Amino acid sequence: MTALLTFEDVHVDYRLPRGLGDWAAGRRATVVEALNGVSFSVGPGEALGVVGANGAGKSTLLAVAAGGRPASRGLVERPVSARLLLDLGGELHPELATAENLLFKLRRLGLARRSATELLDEVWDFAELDRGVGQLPLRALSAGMLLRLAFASSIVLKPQLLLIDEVLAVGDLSFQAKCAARISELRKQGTALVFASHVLEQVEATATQAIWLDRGRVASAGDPQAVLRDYRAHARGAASPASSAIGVTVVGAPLRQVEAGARDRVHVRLPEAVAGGSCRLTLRREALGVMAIAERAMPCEGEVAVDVVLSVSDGAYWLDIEVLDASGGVVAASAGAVTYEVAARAGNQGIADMDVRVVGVRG
Amino acid sequence: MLTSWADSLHVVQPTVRVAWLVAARDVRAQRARALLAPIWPAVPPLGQALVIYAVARETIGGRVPDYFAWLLLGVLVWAHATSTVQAIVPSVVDAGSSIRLAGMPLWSPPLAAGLRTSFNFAPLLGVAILLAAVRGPGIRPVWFLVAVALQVWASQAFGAVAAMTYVFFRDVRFGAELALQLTYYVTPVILPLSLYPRGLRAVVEWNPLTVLVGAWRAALLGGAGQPLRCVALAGVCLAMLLVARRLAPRAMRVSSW
Repeated sequence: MTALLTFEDVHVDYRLPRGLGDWAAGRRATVVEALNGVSFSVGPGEALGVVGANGAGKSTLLAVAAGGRPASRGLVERPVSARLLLDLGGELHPELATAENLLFKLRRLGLARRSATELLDEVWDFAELDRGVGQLPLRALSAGMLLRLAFASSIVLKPQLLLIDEVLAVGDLSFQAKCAARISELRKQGTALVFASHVLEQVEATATQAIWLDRGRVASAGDPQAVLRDYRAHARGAASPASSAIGVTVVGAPLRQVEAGARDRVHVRLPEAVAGGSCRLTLRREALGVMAIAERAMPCEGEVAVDVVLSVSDGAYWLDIEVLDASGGVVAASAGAVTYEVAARAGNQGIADMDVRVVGVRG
Repeated sequence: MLTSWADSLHVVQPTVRVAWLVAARDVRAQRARALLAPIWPAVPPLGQALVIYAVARETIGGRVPDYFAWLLLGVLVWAHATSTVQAIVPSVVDAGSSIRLAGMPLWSPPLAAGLRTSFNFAPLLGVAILLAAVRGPGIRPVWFLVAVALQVWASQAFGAVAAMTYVFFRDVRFGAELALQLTYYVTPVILPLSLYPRGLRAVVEWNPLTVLVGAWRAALLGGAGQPLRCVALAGVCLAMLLVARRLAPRAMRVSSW
């Protein structure tokens, strides 16, 4: 089987720009290793999922794979005609009519005018948008419409190698399913997929192999299940809940398994009275950062019971609790006070939300 | 080395093709919902030429035959060179995501910026040609081709070096603007060479814009052309393009775009 993309011990170094002061002082430029000895190979029909925290080197890996960034060292092999990075319209012009922008994009990617015009029908059909939208300037379109068109105009070209940077979840649920089906269809026809994602469930469901990048190095590679297990364990360790609690204690189990949408009661022991205080609860998710924030005024003394309802997709979440004084300053906090293992429930895949109600106070 | 040059030639066709598409797209975008869009780029140089003519006609006009056409050509050449270099300087950095992520050829944005500016100046060039045809001795085709080629070649060469250097130092934009403005004062746009102070004449004569202006005046107004200086300028521009080409791989490794 001929690989469509091969990285062998690829290094990418960035030289950070020097200021005038650095020049005057004779300081050498700082070199950052964005990729450090990355190796993998992707064949026809395979899907490589790339995970890692922000700044780990995922986008650099994709840019090198697309040919837009040279590797400082190592070998990158790919068939010249087999690369396309799915972008969300960076080179389109907001003043021009949408149809004209799409034609430009298709022609820029190498199609003759006639072929591009013919393919445009397929784009409208795939995006499920009225052709009249084509007459509107691009800036008049909603973000969702733009995403649909960007995805549709890239996918209709049937590339042999598809590179996707964190945009696999496009549009609403039905359109996401349609995109996933199209990608799966392309893979059956031999298209190789390399995608970076923070949605680990997506990596689990799609990838045939995975790489976890940690500050440019491959921390784990191979079977997606094993790689994601390593990554999750690392992410949990990085956000150890016990280490950063100052003045706030959660009474009860710090690790809880709940169903999405179900109510969970959290008893929080607070420090001495804070006049005019309030309590801020922040829900975080591994790699994705803050998902929801709720701030409630409450007596900040003794023990307070709050009901938390998490309307989120399945996965691991952390609840941070902060006590604020009247001016908004944090007087006590506990990062990762509760760890939630949330099980999915049908119809709960939309926007993450957290509802918090104060249900009892004991002085 | 040979492989490297063969690779360079291999990318010429897609580079030019994409540059053409980008330039056409940008011109259409510029004209979208602007009724007088084709006229606007010609207004500032034409206005500048008219004002200078009104001011200097009495004092300088008598020394230069057909002073308005002479002046208009000078202003046009300078304005085109300035606009082109200004458009080219940020073009690579501005198209960074398209180059990095969407496979746009590196040299397409600077080439597109030059094409777009030239397209904008085409109507005014038409006016100058008409003026020359009506009032001057007629067009000299060889000099006309030399002038067009040299104008494009020089603007692209200076712009390409500036665009690559701009990747490393954003000061380049301000430096280029200042240099172009200062060059204006030592280019015989308003004053003929004979009116410059004797000590400054060598600077004026070897200024690249003087060579360009001279080529255009030779083509349209029957002025004395300076073939050797044109060849020298073309050679300098070739050297600058080679410098830009050498800078390109280093620019691709810079993180700041």
